[in-house]
Amino acid sequence: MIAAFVGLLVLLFATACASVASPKGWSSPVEGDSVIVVAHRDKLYTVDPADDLFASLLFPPEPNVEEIDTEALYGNPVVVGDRIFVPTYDDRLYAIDFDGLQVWSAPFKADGQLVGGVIFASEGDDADGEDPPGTVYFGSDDGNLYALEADAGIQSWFFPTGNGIWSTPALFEGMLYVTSLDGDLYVLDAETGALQWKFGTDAGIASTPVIDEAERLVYVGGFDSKLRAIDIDTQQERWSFGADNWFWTTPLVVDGVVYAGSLDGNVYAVDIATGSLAWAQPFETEDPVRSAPALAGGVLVVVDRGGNVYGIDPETGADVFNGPIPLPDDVLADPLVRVAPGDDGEALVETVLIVTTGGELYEIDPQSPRSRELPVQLGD
Amino acid sequence: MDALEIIGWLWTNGLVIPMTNLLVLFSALAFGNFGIGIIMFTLFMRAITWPLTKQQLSASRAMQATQPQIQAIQKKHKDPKRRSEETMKIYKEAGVNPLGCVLPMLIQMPIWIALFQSIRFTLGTTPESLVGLSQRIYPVEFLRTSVPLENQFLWMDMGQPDSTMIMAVLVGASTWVQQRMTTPATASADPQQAQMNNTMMFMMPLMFAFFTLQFPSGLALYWVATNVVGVVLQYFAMGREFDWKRIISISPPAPAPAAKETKQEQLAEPDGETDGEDAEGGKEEVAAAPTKRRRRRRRGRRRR
Repeated sequence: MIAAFVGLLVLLFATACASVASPKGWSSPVEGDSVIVVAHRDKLYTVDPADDLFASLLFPPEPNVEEIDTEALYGNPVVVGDRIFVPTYDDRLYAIDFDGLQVWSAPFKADGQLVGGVIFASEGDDADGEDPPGTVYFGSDDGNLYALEADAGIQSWFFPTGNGIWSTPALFEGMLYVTSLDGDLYVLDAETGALQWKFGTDAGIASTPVIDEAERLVYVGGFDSKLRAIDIDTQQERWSFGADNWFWTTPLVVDGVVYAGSLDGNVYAVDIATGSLAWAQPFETEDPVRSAPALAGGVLVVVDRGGNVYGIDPETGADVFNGPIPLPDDVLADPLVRVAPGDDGEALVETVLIVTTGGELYEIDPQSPRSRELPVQLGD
Repeated sequence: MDALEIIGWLWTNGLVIPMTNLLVLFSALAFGNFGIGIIMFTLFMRAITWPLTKQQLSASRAMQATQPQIQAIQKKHKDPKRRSEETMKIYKEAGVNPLGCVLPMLIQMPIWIALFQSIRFTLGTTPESLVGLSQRIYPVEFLRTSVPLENQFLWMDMGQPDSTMIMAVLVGASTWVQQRMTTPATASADPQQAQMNNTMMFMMPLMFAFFTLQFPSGLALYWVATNVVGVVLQYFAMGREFDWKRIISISPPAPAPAAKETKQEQLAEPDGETDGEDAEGGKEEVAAAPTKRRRRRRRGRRRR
C-alpha cells in the first residue's frame, strides 16, 4: 500500500517536471526597406522605425491567428521586396506579404523542424515583377538542405546530410556553405545542389558559417568547442581556436579579427592571420553566449543568455559600458544593428535592437547605452 | 547560502548532473543512440541500487511470510493498541523490520526523481534545452562532442510522446505485472484496506499508461526497462514460487485462509482471549443454528 502511494507521489512529481519541453523560439530581428520584422515565440511582428518602433502583428494574420500554428520561430526570416520567407518550427516555410497573407498556394512542408534561417539568391537581374525570381535556401532538422523557387515555393532540389541542419546557409561565388549536426561543413553548387566538397569536424555544428571574402576563409564554430578557419580554395583548415564549451554563435568578422561568443561564458577575439587570441584575455560574461556579437558605433555589443548586454572595445577587449546592462529576460536571439536618429533627432547613429525571450524589444545606443531602455512589448 | 539553497545545490550537483553525464556517456558508448543509452543506464542504476532493492525484496518476502499470523491478530484483536503490540511481537519474532520495505524505497525515490530530470535534460528536445544541456555536461571532450544524441530509437523519437500507444500499453502492462508480483496473494483482513489495494492495483498501471501519452517516449522506455528488470529480480527473489496465473487474473486477492483458520480455532477454543465484537458475533452466529433447531424440536414435542 505504502509502495503504491510512494509510486503515485513519484509519478505526480515526475509529471510536473518531465513533460515535453515547449519550444520558445529565438528568431532575430531582420530589416526590410522600411520596416523591421521581429519574431516572438510563434508570431511575427512588424516594427515601424518611423513610428517609435510601434509593433503590430504580422503573421499569423488577424483574424485567423488560431488557424496557423507555427509552434515557434527560430530561424531568421528573409525580406525580399514585398515578400517575407518565414521558417517555422512546425516544419513549414511560409512565403507571406506585408499583410501577413500567404503568397504560395500552400507553405512548403519539410520532414523536420526549421531551426535555421533562410537565404535568398536572385537569378541575376533585379526583380521587375511582383514575384521575385530567385531561389530560397534553408535547412531542416530532417537533415536536408532545400532549394525552392521563390515565386511558387516549388522544390528545385534538396541535399541530404547526416543529421539535422540548425544553421543558416551562406552563399558565396555560386556555392552554398552549410553546416550540419553531423559535424560536417558541406559546400554545394547552389544551382544544382551537387556536393563540391566537405570538411569534417569532431562534433555537431549548429552555428551559421561566415564567409570572409577577403581572406577566402569560412569560419565555423562547433560543439567540439573549436572555432575553425577553413580555406575555401585548399579546403584545408588554416587554424582552429579552442574554448571551454561549444561555439553556437554566428562569428563576426571585422578588420582582420573574428569575434565569437561561446557557451563557456566568454567572448573571444581571434586574430585571423594567426588564429590566436587578439586580446590579452577573453571577455568574460556572466552567462553563456549564444547570440551573435554585433558592431555598432565602434562598440562590440554582446548579449549573454541571462540578458546582460556588454559593450566591448573591439581592439582591446575592455569593458566600454562599465558593467553590463541587465535586461529582464533571457536573450538567445541575435541582435540587429540599424541606423537610427540620435538623441538630437537629426544625426544618425548605429543602434542595436535586442529582443528578449519575454518579447521585450530594446534599442540600445552603444555611445550612450543607458539612454533608451524602455522596451516595446511584443504580443501579450 | 541558506539550507534550501544548499539542498538545491546538492540535488543538482550531487544527483542530477552526474546522472545526466552518465546518460550521455552510455548513449555515447552506444554510438550516440539515446534509446540504447537509456536501457544501459537503467541496468546500471539498477545495479547500483541493488543493495537497497535486495533489502526491500527480502523484507517484502519476510513480511509476506508473516501475513497469516498478522491477519490472525487483526481478526483476534480489535483494540488498535493491542493489535499493534501483537503485530510488532510477531515481526520481532520473525526478525522483520517493518521499515525494511519502505526505507529502501524512500531512499530510491530521490534517485528516481533525479533520473527523470536527467532524462529530460539529456533529451534536448528543443534548441533551448540543448543550450541548457551544454552547461550540465562535464568538461570532458568525449562527453561534450557526443551531443546532440540520436533521438530516434526503433519507431520512436525519444524526445516526443509515442503516438502509436505501444509504449503506453507496455508501461501499463509491465507496471501491472510488477505490481501483481509484489502484492500479497491474500487480501488484507481489513476490508477498507483490501478495497484500496484493489483499486490501486488497477489505477496505477492505468495512470502510468495515461501519463506515458504525455511524457517523452525516452521516459517511457526507462519505465518499461526498469519494470522489466524489477520483474526479473522479483522472480528470482521469490525463489520461483510465484504463481504466474495471478498475473493474467484480474480478480482481487483471495481472502486469507488464516482468517478461516482463526475462526475455527476460536470455535474450538471457546476460552481463548477475544476482545473483538466480530469474533464474538461470529461465535454466536455459528452457535445459533443448532440452538434454533433444538427450540423447534421442543415446540414440536409440546404441540404433540
